[in-house]
Amino acid sequence: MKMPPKLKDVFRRNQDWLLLCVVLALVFLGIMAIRETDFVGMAFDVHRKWVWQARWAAIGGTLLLLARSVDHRSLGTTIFALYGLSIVLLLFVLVFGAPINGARRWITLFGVLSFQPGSFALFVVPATFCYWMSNCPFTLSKKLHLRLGVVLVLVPAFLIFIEPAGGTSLALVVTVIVIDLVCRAPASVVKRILLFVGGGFVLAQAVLVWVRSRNIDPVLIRETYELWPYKHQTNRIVWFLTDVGSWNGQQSVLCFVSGGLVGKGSGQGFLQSLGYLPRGVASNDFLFSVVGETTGFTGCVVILLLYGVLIASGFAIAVRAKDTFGRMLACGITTLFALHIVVNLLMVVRMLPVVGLPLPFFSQGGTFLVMSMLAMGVLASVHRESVKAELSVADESVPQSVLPVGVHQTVLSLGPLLQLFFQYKQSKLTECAQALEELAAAHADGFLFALGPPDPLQKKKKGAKRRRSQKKNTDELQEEFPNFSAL
Amino acid sequence: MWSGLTNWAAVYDGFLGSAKRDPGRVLRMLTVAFFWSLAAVALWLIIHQVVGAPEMMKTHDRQLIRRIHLPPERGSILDCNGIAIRSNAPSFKFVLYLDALIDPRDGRKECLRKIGQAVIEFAKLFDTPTYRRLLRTEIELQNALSANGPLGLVLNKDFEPSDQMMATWAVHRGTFPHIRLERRLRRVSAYPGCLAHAVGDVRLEAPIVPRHNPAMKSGHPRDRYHIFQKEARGVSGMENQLDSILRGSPGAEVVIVTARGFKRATVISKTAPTPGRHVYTTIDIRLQKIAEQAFFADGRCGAFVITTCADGAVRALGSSPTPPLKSTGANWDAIMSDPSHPLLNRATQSLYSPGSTIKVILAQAFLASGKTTADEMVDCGGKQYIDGLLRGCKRAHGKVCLRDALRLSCNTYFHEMGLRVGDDYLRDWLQLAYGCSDVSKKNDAKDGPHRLRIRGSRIMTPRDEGRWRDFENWLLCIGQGQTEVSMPSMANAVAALVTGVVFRPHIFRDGTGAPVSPDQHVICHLDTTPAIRREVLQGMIDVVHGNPATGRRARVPGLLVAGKTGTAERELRSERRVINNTLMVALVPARAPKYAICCVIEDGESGGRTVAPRLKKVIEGMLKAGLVVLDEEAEKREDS
Repeated sequence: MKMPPKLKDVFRRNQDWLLLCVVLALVFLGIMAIRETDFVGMAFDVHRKWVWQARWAAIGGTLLLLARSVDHRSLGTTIFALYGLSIVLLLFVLVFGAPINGARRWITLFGVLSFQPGSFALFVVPATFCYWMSNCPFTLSKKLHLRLGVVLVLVPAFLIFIEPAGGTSLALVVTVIVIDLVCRAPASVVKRILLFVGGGFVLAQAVLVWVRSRNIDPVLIRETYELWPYKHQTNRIVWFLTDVGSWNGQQSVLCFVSGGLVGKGSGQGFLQSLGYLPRGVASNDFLFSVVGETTGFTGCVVILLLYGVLIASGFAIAVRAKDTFGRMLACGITTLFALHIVVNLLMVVRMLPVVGLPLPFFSQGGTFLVMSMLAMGVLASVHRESVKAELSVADESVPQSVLPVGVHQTVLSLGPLLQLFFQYKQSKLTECAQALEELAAAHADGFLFALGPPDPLQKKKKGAKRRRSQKKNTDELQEEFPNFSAL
Repeated sequence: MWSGLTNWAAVYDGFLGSAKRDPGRVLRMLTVAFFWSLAAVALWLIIHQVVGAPEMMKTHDRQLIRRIHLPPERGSILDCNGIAIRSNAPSFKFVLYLDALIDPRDGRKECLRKIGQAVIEFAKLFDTPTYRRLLRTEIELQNALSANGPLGLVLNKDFEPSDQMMATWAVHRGTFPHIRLERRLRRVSAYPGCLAHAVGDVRLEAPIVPRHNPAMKSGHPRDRYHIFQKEARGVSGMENQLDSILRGSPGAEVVIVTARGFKRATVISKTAPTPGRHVYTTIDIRLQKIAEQAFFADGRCGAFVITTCADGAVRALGSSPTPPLKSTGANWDAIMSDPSHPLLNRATQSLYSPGSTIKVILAQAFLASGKTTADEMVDCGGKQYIDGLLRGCKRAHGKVCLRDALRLSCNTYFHEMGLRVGDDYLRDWLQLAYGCSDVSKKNDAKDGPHRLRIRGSRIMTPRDEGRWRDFENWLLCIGQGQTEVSMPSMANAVAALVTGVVFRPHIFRDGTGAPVSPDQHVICHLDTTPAIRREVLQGMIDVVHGNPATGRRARVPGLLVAGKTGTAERELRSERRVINNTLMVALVPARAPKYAICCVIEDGESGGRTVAPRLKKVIEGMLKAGLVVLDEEAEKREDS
């Protein structure tokens, strides 16, 4: 069934709204799932982790709206300052961070709040890489440019790795590689790579089934990894290869199995409420298992669909981005989310070894949630800018949108709308018409719903200015970085 | 290679090639790739959640559910009057319940710290040496937690709280909401050492679980499906023999526990335990106490059995030395190596040569054979040669009749008469009298567990098949040699003098405690007449009341007692010496015999000197307790 062109156009132009709705739904469901893990018995106080998650979500939501309303290109060289800050924080946490479970990942603020520099760097570094590759402020040779770009990524990746947070470090490197491949590699090469990775994954699963059926003694496997300095990573690999699996992995699988089709219901998840699925991981890395137990297959499918929409929308935004930096940024953010989603989901069903990557917008974790929502705001900003660019070249007689474009404008227009509503109720049509005119004058951009398209002349002027600046940027880019000319 | 590493950027560009870039297509391919990954997860979920994984559900249930076995209350062992010989008495224990103490979010160290702190505070409350042992090491606490699961941590058990202790606890119990004072049942006897051998002992032990129980496959405490509580199990005597009746059947509480395993989150089902049934015995606890105090006051090795003449029921039996109870923590190595064998129940498990007590049985056989009469006289010349060996009486008794022979315990008379009556006849008679023909002894199914397990008596047989030598006849007639009889059989053989019927010694009544018809316990009828039995009984009375008489030390003023002493030589090969097992059988009161008493004291002087005084004490005790009455009083009652 083909979507009518007009509706399709509306859908495409408001794709960021769909994305934001998905994020909102995921955050809400995540808080509900975290609330499930709070139940520890009647004799003791309820652990209010979900309240903290809601607070972080509120902060993240505000940042999302702010980021959405700001042009992503205005980030400019500020990104280097953020990059420097992330490096400083990573070094700080390595030196002064208190070790928790053998890892120095958290900086505790005021003894209450904990902040994870790794999560901060996870978003800042790919953005820096994107900016470096698309808008390099220096005149460098092609080789040096690429090499410095790689160093730009590997330094924080190494710092994160020695925290140790191998999963985060790996996700960072893979994201950067994907960004580079998307921008520089031909489709045939990427296709070959994807086929190789996919085939390798299927083959690895088959080998895994065979290895697990052999019931190999974990001690024998562990001896082969004696040289690796991080024993917890060795143990994860070892337990992944055994049939029984690690305790967390085993309990995670049992959560899904016992959940069945519709789950046990809220508060009935014995495996997580009675501590079989350890409380330390139930609310973050293994939160999807909690969903599997309480809501069963039905709930899991809902979450999978939401994530599917999120990934598809993210990449669609990247496809439609009009500028290189925006495309790279959208691609990087979506890849980062997709990697986290896929790795986490495959991990909780024991198709991958345990890797400490949380589910975006879902798992507990303040820094990661805030940064994710901020990144989603940037993604929405990329979309907004591309829509604006599209609109600027579109036929001016065609209605451009049936929904308000900017949230901040929508929020600003709420007050007058209410006023209008009450005036309408009182049947003061004259005053109403007058008020409408006032509103049209005050909120010409944001109140399209009520007044129709903005002044075409105004729009045309803006569009012409933007096209000029865009052309200028593209020319500069072509000179500095010829590989990006195809974009 | 080095150049390859340094020029990796060029290599990378070469790998990418110079084909036309199409980022849109690449992004679409990435989208599809990630969708396939999500599809793989969805497929896994369909297989495991929708289709189902029964094996995994078993694992799920096994780790979540525990079946706590609830021990039943053990039945009592009652005497013939319904008085408890062995029953349950309450004792108390302090139990620390961890679910009320420990936050589920606490880590292992925090748990142990809280437990340690609670225990220390509790120990301070009752600052006695007993409670100082509560201060355990971390490993001990961990082991206790793993073993007990949701049953709590037993801090102190089997103590008898003093009033002061209970008052202290009543005041401070509010500060220890996680500690409860619980009642448990302890096995106690009617009095210390009562029927120690016969009733036996119990031990608290967990039920035996097969090693290959699938529920214990992983060996991890969390995977234990069953949690057993220790229950009393009989390890010896009646407690062991009738364990299936006394034990009852345990209940079960199926619960869901937390991951740590010490909290009952939800109770799925609960089945109350079925208490064990009582066992009714024929023992008279009053008589038992009297006999134990009289026979074993000086701690000599020996045994006694008292049965009723009317039905052969055992009223009292005992063995000395007595073993300590297992719960007292005795030195078992020393007990096992003790030459007096305190664990041996001499009353039922030992066989003794009857010595001269056999003459009571033989006297009936002589008269029943018709080859002699009670008045026939035999000249006893003291020592004589039998098959070339100097044997005979220690001194010459002159001419003696049957009653004299019994009174003086004249060996010559019985040897002469034995030769005349014939050894085969005597052997058959003895086999009947001592219950050797009791086939039910070999058939447990007939009486089930309600059977007094005694060793079968054996009567001497000739070395050469079918041909008795004189010396063998001599040994048979003085109750030595290979003839060995159990104590209950010896008592009932003497009791047969009253009714002419040999009863099977029995100690249990039926399950309801109702008396059983004596006919059920008849082994055989001896071919005797009342006149014969009266004659032999008169001879036994002479043994006690005659002059001279071997059993005169058992004489009790005002009460006619029939008895027969005996002394049997026994060679102790380990110590290379010969000891005298001194015996005495008696019928009390002789005027209308009610009880048959048989007693043996090992390494004694003679039956008359060693056993008779003890028997006298028993009879006096019986008189005092009203179990028998003086003859004069009995006559008055009969007249009235």
